[in-house]
Amino acid sequence: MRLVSPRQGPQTNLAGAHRGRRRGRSMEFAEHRDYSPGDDLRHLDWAAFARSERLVIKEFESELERTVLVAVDLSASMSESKRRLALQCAAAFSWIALNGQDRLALAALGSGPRYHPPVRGRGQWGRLMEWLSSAPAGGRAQLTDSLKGLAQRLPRSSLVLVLSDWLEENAGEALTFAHYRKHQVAALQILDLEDSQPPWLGPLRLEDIETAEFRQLSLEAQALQYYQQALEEHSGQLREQCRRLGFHFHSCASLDRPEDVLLRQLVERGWLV
Amino acid sequence: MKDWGWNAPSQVVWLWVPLVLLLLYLFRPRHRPQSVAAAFLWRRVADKLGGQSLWLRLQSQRLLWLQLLFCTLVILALLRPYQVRPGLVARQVVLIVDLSASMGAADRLPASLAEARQIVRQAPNGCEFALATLDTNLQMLQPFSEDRVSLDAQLAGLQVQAVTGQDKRVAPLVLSLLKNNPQAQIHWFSDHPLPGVNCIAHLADQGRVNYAIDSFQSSPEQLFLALRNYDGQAAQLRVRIRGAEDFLVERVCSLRGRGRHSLQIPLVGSQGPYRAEILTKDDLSLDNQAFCLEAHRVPMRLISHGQVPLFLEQAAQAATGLTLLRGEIATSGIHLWSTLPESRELPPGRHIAAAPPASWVRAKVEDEGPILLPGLLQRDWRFRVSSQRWGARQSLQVGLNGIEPVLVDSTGEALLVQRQQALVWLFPLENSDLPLSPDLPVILSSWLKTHTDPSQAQSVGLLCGTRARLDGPAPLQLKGPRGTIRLEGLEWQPTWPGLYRYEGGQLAVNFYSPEESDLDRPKLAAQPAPPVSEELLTRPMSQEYTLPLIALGLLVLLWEYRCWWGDKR
Repeated sequence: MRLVSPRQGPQTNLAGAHRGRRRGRSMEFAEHRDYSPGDDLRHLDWAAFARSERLVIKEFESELERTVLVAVDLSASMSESKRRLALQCAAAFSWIALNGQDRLALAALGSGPRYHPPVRGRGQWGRLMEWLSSAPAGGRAQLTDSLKGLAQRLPRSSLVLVLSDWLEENAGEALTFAHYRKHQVAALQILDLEDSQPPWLGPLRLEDIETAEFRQLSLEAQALQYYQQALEEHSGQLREQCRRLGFHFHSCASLDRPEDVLLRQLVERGWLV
Repeated sequence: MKDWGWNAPSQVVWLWVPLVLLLLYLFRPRHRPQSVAAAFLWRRVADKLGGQSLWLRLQSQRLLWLQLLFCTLVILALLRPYQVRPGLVARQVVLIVDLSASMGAADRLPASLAEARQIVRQAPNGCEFALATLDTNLQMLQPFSEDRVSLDAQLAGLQVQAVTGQDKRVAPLVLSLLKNNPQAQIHWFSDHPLPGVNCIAHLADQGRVNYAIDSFQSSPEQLFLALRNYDGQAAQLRVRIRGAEDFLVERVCSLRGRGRHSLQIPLVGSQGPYRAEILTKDDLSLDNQAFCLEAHRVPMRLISHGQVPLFLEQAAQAATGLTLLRGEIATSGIHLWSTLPESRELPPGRHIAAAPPASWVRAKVEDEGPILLPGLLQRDWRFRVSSQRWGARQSLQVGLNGIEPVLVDSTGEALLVQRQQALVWLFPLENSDLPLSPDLPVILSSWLKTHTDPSQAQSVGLLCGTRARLDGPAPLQLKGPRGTIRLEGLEWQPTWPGLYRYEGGQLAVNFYSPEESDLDRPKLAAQPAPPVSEELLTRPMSQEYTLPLIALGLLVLLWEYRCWWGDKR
């Protein structure tokens, strides 16, 4: 099982396991084309010339390296259940990426976002997971700014998996910027029950756990209905933006099993083969 | 008669507690802190809700509704509602008969006893009866028993006593009975409601119209007629006053509620005696007519009582040059109104003593000689008459029509004013039930309750429109429209109203309300009052529960304040 790019290949000069858009020097034959003056004569297919008396150049596929970034939101808004599912998915996804000879980078978003530069090889998985689990939880994610910074640091056409609750206003700006950098983004929104169906009633001072912004409301059925509408609207905007940019967006509950999230969603979407 | 009501309507003042609770919740809503992952979503919710309405803010306050419910129940309990269900047959029936002097009027006691006998007759078998009487004491004549024969005999032996009924002793008994046996049926047979216990039907409430002439007095200028309303509801009465020389006045008097209302009828060249009559019929034949003689024009000089400082008496006597009569009183005092001869002039500020008026009262024995009070000082004087019975009195200020201050005391113990040509002492009226003119809070009636020699009292005209105690030599005979009343010894029983001849003079005999029916003879020390049993002294329920409930309300408020303070911190 390996990760594939659903749309376009990586844009890098390093040799790797992924097919590039341009012709390269791999062992895999791609096609013939007519000879043009200036072409390297070593690529002439003499057998074809013998058969057809035409000068054709033999071209091969390019096998390039691709960078995969797994960004895990460890901010305060990620409750224990959400964080556990995010780490499980990140571990599985990292294993798949390293196993597929991809270069894997990790990012922990939270108080002081941390970034682990890309590494290659299955042997690095344990060390990466240890690094990820040691990342401090809590603080404010600042998802938009963090993702913008990461998208800039990554080589173009990287594969980015963001594991977060995506509960941040204007989070779609990061997606637009990632698209500008030609990255492929898979956004996994993890919500727990309190996010989707708040169980509270009565007069509450609702305080944002990250920004300390608060609202005083008396929660009734109508207010809860409005909240669910607002949440659906927010997720729907993200989903629609991802669809428009060719990204993948999936919302799941924190109680979902990680294999379901990875296999059903990523395999169905063609990210895993 | 109302089917239900409140026994303690004044307790409605505790409504401020739930109101304060409501205001606390309105202005200090206690929001529980709750961490959320995304406040911006809740901001959108708040924008959609657009400022929650008052009802929405209060709707979710379950604790508030619980507290309001609790307070409402407590207040309802404090109000002590009652329901009168005549059809309900109780297993225990208590009959309390008022035997005070006022019950001797007309057919009050016989009507009461007839009513009591009917109740006993209609009661089912197995019913227990108790009989209590009230005169100066509350006596339980018959404890709970099923013996109707003895009860009937007890009822037949009841007689009116010429004493003042001590109504205050009944309420503890009634409340104690109701507390121990809420199903008990208690009947109060009297001509007035039982103070403090509204749940007991009384005779006056059963009538269609229950009014009475309370007092009827005269002065040279006008007649003063006081009407008492025994019902709580408002009504209009037609009153007719007849006098000599075709003097006839008819008035319509609006009575707004239970209490006493006074009428003033000016006299223009008419002569007494006068007869006042309520034309509106009532059911109980209460006092609907009263008589008074012509206002006595002989100057009187009885302007003191036992509590007036001696120096003041001397000062007033020096000022007027008139004879001063001093009455011996222990409790209620003498309330006087005197007229001066028309020829006599008494300019204000002519006298009275050297010290300022306030010091006359404080330093009673110091006489520094006569001085002339300046007019400027008189203008600064203020008059105040206080009374427990009448509540806050209107201030008698300088400048009232026809009123000139002569003597004032800042403490209101005693003061002297001059009204036209009359000197009037104003006393604290705690024990007086005399009518007050709305523009002149001056006593315009004489009320003699004294051991004064009757001949002396008569000579100064004290029988003129007054209630008098005839302590003359026995036996006395009064001849009136309903026969001759023979007074044995010193006994005096108020009977029918009317004009009577007494030793060559005329005497008006009227009935009075229970509050004024204290024409008691001198107390006989040889007959000590039977002690009231401890059972009868049980405190009313309200006194037992009010204090804990108030403490509970304060605790609730304290808890509210603590919660609010905790949230604020």
